Amino acid sequence: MIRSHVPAAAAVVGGTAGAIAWGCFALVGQDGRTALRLDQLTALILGAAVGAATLGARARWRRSAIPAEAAVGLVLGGAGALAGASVLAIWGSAVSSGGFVVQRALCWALTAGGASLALNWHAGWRPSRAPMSAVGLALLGGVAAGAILSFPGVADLWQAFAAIWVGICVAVSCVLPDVAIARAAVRQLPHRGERAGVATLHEVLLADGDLLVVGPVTMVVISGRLAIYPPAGGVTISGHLRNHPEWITRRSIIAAGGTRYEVDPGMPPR
Amino acid sequence: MKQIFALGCLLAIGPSSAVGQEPARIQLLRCVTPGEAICTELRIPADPGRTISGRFARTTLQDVSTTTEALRSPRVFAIAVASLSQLGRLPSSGWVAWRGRADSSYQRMVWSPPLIAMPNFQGTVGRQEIRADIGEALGSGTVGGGNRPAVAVIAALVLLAMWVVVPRGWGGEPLNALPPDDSSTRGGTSAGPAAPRGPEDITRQTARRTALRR
Repeated sequence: MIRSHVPAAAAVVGGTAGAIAWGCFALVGQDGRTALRLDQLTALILGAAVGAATLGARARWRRSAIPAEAAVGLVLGGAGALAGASVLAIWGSAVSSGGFVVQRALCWALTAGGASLALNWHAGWRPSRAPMSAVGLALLGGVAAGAILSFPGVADLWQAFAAIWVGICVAVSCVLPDVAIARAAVRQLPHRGERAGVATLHEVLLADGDLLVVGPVTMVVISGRLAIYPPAGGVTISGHLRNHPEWITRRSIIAAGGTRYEVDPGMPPR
Repeated sequence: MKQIFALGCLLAIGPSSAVGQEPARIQLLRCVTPGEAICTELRIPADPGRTISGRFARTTLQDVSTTTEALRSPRVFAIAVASLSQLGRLPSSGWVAWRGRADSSYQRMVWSPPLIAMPNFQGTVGRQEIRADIGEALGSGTVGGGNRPAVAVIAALVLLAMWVVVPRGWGGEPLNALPPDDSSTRGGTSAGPAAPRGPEDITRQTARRTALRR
């Protein structure tokens, strides 16, 4: 298993997006919409916020186009959550307390699951990524969120935590498949005096066949093993100058172009 | 904080509604201060003896005047809750009062909140428009929906802790802290099986290319 920082960072970003979405819920709460419309708009806001934040942050961690990915996440996350929430909401609310809690949990689960499904579809629906397991995680998170909202006390408070929780679950469900199939992780280490942070994380997960160019160094995952190709002048790997292509078999630090990268090849294939 | 607010919610059904028919307009009214109440959309059966079902047309703030009219209609639905926030939690019991009747009997009904969102309140009406005995039954009431600023502070603190604590667990791995390899001359690498001579030889067909740039 690869030691990746991406799931934890995604949880932080997703939770923050959920909280921001909760803050926006008030924008749709006072203008006379029906309960169904309120549910749909709330789900749309939640899914769009989490989708945009998750894909945008993932693009930043990978150093790819952030606005484009965030826009895709905004649309797909919102659409997925809206579709999920609409499935159950159109049937109307149950009137018994027990039935209502079950219905609410299912509605939150479908909202989270719909957003996760749409976002994972965008990430590449390869069976090896086990996307359905990730969607299942989001569904379970949604069930828990529905139960949280029905906790005794101030519903506003529980709604905030439910939104944060759903944001965490959806965001993590979007990045876990990449971690599951990754055979190596390459992470840029902070410069001297800098601290590692969610916003400054730069990490690329490499699956079989992936090729990564880090400054003058090229890395390729071949049959589950990570090969490194130093430039003509060599590269420093964990303090040793290397000049020839080699397999990276354990966690190493590569110094290239004035920047240090931590390379985690995970467990070698048997 | 222990004070339980005697809030109440009233549902007024438009003048065009009648027993046994689908009501045209529905608003939920909540006593906020002794002088006013808040209204919103609610589901109610055509027959008040049954549980609430069905969906109804959207109402807007412009319906306040209509609501005033609606209060003169024959039916009023009331829900007694401890605070506004309880309306968003679970279905609540309510009572139907017949405004035009001499006997002020109530029939029990159920209010179901939205599944994801908080209940929606759309406007206010003067308390003088509410029948006196219903107003007394609902109590004077106090606003119970001002939790959002406090909740926002709590959520912000939780998230701030996440932003600070999560990266602490990562740490920056110092170069010298890496464990030595089996071979003292090789820092974390191994000749192992012969590495390919060039990445393009292996990955020309399938490789995804990406890059880390500073």
